[in-house]
Amino acid sequence: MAQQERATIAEAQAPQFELRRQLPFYVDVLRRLVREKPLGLFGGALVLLIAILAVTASWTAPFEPNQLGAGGRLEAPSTAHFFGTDNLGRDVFSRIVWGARIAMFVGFAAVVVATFISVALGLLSGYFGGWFDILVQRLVDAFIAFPALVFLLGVVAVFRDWQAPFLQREGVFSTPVFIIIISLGILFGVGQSRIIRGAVLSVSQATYVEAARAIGVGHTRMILRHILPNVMAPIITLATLGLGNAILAEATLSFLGLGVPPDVPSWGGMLSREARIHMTVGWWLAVFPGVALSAAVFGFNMLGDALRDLLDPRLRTG
Amino acid sequence: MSNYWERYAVRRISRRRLLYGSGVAGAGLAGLALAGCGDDEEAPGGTQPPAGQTPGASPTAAPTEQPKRGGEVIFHLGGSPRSLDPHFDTFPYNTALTNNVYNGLYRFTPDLAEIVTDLATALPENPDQLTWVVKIHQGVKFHNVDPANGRELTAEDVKYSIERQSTNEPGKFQHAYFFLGKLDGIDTPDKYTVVFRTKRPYAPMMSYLASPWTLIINRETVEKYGDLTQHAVGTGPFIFKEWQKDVHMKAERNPDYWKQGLPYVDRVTWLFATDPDTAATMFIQKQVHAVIVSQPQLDRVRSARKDANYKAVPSQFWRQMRMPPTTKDQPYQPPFSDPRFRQAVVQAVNPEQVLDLVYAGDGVRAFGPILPIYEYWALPEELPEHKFDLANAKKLMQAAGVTSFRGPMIWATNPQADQIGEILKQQLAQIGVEVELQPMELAAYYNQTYSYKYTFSHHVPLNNPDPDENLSSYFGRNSTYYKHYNEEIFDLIDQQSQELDRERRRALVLEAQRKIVLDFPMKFMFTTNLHEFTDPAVKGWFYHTDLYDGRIETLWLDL
Repeated sequence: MAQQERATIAEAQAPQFELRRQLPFYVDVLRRLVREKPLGLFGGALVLLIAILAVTASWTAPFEPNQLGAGGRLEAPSTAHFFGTDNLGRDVFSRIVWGARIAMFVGFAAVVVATFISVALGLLSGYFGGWFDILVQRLVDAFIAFPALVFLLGVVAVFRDWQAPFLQREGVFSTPVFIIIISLGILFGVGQSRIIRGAVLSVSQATYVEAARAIGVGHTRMILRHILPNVMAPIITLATLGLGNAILAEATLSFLGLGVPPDVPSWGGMLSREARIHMTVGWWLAVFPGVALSAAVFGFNMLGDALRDLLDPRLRTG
Repeated sequence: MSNYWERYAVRRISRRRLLYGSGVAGAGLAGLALAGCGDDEEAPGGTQPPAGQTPGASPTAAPTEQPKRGGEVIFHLGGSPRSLDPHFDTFPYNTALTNNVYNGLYRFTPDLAEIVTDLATALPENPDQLTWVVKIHQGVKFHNVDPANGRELTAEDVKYSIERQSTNEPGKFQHAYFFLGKLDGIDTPDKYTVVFRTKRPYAPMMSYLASPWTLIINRETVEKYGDLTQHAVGTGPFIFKEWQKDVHMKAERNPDYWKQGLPYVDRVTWLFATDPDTAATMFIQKQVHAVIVSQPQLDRVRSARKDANYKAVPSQFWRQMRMPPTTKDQPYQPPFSDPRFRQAVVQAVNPEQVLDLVYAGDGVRAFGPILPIYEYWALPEELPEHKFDLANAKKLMQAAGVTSFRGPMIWATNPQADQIGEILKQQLAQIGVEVELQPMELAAYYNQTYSYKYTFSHHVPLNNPDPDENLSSYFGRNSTYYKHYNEEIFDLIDQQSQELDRERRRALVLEAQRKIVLDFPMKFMFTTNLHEFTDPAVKGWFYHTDLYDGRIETLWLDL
């Protein structure tokens, strides 16, 4: 009787168990994000909204971002201009929508570069260890000790007048934007490589790695098949958190006049130019780009924080 | 695994999350706060008050008031000097200090109405049209600091200073056009007499002798330090004490000043703040005694400091949109070599729109190389060929056979200049000229500008009281700030500089300007208004019309 009850219970539980096991890993993460991390979900929704605005800017924005006289000079927010106009009569809402494009583009591109650098340095340094690890880590130490903003300003200032032959001279795909992306990528990538290295050191001690090593698996296969997939969690988390930082850094550079060219609408550029000159008479010039910037950074940070909780086995609950 | 939503009713938000959330909110606020920082080289701006009107209290002290000794006066400056050398710089931040550490032979009165003596005892004697005999005061002592150690200033120092200024050495040519090639020699028959001999009659001689840049320096200081970049020892009312780049400059009263009883204040400090909002706040909070603000800050300052002395004046700084500089060896390249293309560019630019949008219309148009504030010398109206006329600009492009052109435009970056670049780009796009915007950091921009190699730039040069300075330094044979090769224009500029009859000189100046405008080297755009404020405690001084003249020896504080 008791045996039959146990069997019934096991049958009742079995489908549930099967269902969970059949869910792909990332779908499961998404499901848990919805169920367990509402703030992360909210952050993800914000990020999605900004991404949609960035992609659909040509349809979403009611005016061209640089259209002079789209409205009157310094008009307050109204139904005609949701976020008001700047001193050149340009529609602030349209500029914020178009600004999302440069923010997301620079953010994603910089994170791709940063991830490549951090994974390359972290994997190789952590896996091979020895003198190579010592050398790489001391260089990373030296780099981390260098003030981030000074590094960014220095790189951007030095290469400001350089023109890459394969890029446009202005616009989103221009050399100045490329330089910002590369410098942000280096800045974040080198710093993040320390975390990847830590994860690699931990994974390298795992039994399955020892087993793979025992049967003579080569370095390349070991790194790509056995180490890398098992450090994906910190990589994804770092990338998500890095996006917010990259967007903030781009805005900072634009604010300091070393960012994207002035005719490319960017949130930092809006704060630096029209807001800085006219915010005492046009609060909307500072508030709306500031809110957009905060929302993007908040969204990525919340999402990144939630993903870290969901992907890190040590932080898993239930 | 429990569901968050199920737990929500019984779980309060953790402290960690609360802090995280507030941190992000803080980051947002910090982002907003960014909007209050930064740099802006331009002070000009201003709205409703017409130029010259003084709605506040009187900007100068009542003449019956008895000056008081003592106190420290603090000024705001929109930036740090590049150098303290008065002969080899062009920034007003330089002359704020150097005009108080050094003396010149002559000075303009604050309203530029006339020239008065400084080290000279009287206006020069002219035994003939080529000779200028200048007597200087006896007993004028350099500051009692090393290496001058209170030595008496003599005619030799005057000769040394003028000759030092007249160099064509790269990087040191800024004011060479004053006297280089113009003087046949400088004689010093005795310790207190200087005789300038010009090669030809030289009409602007007195203006250049009275320039805030023509200051008499101490030879020993140059010899000891190699240059005057970091050092300043003169005969002026204040002794230089400290220059902390991007922070402040300080000077103290010269107790042995040769002008009896002057100066009145014990110390003077210039605080550097590039951001116009910061400058306005400094004055509102009474951290500085005097400030010049831009138009967006005007209402805030006026409402917060109703007690302040206030004056709106047209600036000497004005906006040009330049095309490539040319020399004999560097002529215009196509399509600029076709004057119809240059005229098309000039007529496609609408300066009124730029002035209205960027400066709320607070300024005056410029019609040629001399600004309307110098009414006697300026072109009275805009020549039709220079006026904004988009339809004609398009016709000219067709006539020149240019369907499109693409080239970079450079300028010294600041918020307003960046906006001007954006507007110019859109205006020129209407005739098929695609401009690539390349804002540059100030130092890099100056290096590029003075290499005379660029396609387009928009620039804020200075206009000066004497017409020769506005013509020869930009369009003359030995111009320094810009290069435009045209022998006919060179000859006219030379002729006006040699014409001592004022009316005949005016005719030549006007003719030279017409020739320049119709050669289409650039679009002459506008000048904006300056909004100058001083604290009511400041007496005996107000901003001079020539902002480069920063002398404050008569200033006193009614504390």
